[in-house]
Amino acid sequence: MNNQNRKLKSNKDIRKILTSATGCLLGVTTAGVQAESDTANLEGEWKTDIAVLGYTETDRVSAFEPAIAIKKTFEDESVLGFKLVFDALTGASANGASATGEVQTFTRPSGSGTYITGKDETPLDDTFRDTRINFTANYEQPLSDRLEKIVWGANISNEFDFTSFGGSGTFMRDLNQRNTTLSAGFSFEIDAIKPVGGAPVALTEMQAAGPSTREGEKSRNMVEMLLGVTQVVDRNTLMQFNYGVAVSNGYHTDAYKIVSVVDEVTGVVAPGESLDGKYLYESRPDGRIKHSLFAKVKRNISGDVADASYRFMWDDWGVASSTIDMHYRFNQKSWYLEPHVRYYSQQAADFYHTSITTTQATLLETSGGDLTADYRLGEMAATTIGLKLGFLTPGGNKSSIRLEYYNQTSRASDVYGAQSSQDLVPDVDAVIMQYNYSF
Amino acid sequence: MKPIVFTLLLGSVFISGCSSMGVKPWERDILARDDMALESASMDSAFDDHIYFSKEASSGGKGFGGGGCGCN
Repeated sequence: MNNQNRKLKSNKDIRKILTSATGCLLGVTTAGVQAESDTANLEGEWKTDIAVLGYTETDRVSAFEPAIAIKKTFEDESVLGFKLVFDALTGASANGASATGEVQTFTRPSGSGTYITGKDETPLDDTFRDTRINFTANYEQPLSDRLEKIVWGANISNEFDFTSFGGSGTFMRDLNQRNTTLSAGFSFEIDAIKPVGGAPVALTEMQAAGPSTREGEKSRNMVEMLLGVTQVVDRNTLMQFNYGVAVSNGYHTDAYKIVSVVDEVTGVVAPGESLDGKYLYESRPDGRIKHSLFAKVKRNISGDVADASYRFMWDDWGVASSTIDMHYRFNQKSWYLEPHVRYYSQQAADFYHTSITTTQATLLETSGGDLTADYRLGEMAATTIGLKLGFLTPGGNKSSIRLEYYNQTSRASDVYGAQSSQDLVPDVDAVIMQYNYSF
Repeated sequence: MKPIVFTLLLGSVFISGCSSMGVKPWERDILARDDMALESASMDSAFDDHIYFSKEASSGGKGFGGGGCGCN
């Protein structure tokens, strides 16, 4: 018994130390945390989630993301939470140009150097490197009759070339003996985009390394509305339906992406003004309206949990996508196993072209228009399969590890002459690993 | 505009149908379990949303995300 008490005390001490450390990291004073943890005996204690994610694409991007979240429920049922995420990205990213039978030379985004892609290889900019820090705060505020609440959110993200801040408010009301919950939320986001070397002028030709005309910083803003219904169907089943619309305005172009200009008969890259080949900087519309319909069912099946969701999304760029996501959690006494399958498919944006002809390039250069060869806006199907193992640690805390495989398969939209012998939009394969610990 | 009208109509039909569904307060034992929460693995979901947002042309639907990203 004494041993058990000592163990419990030791666990509480560890929790207190880690919570204080978390508080310091998130800007909450240690004294504040201490004062709160004393009253926390009457309320809830700070709950902490720690997670580390590793994401590795074959021959491309790798990411390492540690995250920490703390949350506390107060006596009046209000909930306060903070989350801090750090991202470190390295590796190579497709620049949008197409593989050819020749060696290709490109100018780095900074404009001060070049990189070379071998023949029959997908052009990748290997200088891709970024770090991101993201902080979010949430506050759940119950309203007078306890059937209504408002969830407030605020977030800020900062990267080497990008800063974003935003906020949200979601009103929720319970009906039908709390079996139905209606929600209506609004959010906004303001982004500042500072491309390395300045934003290139859209639809102009990439020039050899050296001074070139660039534009300054860019910005974008977005507002979003989300309406939802959650329904308890029976003792074992929950359903959720959401409709969302997001309107964004400003700079949507990816400043680092280009498009190959090729001969429409031979498929060979057209000669450039100062580089061997001709490549145009992409140009996306300065506005986007996205709609989404989302449905989810969660059901207890003899102690296990099935979770299935479907999302249909469409926008005014011509993109339409379907996502099916399914989890099944096999529950055991102190551990669980959860397989996961996700399937995603999307139609290409109207202005997506894997490459363009010299005639199309001339028209775009003189009359303007929208253009991208970013495969993420092309026709694509993606599959994720994964497995998660969750267990209780000897101290009784929740822990889990998951391993997933993600594959993207794309289809080229335009193929000219010799391009038919190239893999113009190769598959992207990635492995995702994550560890979670909650206390 | 049409999708919004359709969604509102569907929503009102759904809510009127909902009044016959549900459980009594003392029948919430299973629904109260952590693993039956609609978002039972929020860290996983947030990481996934970030990955898919940066690799695909779609995002959102479930709720408001945790901040912008220059990756798309």
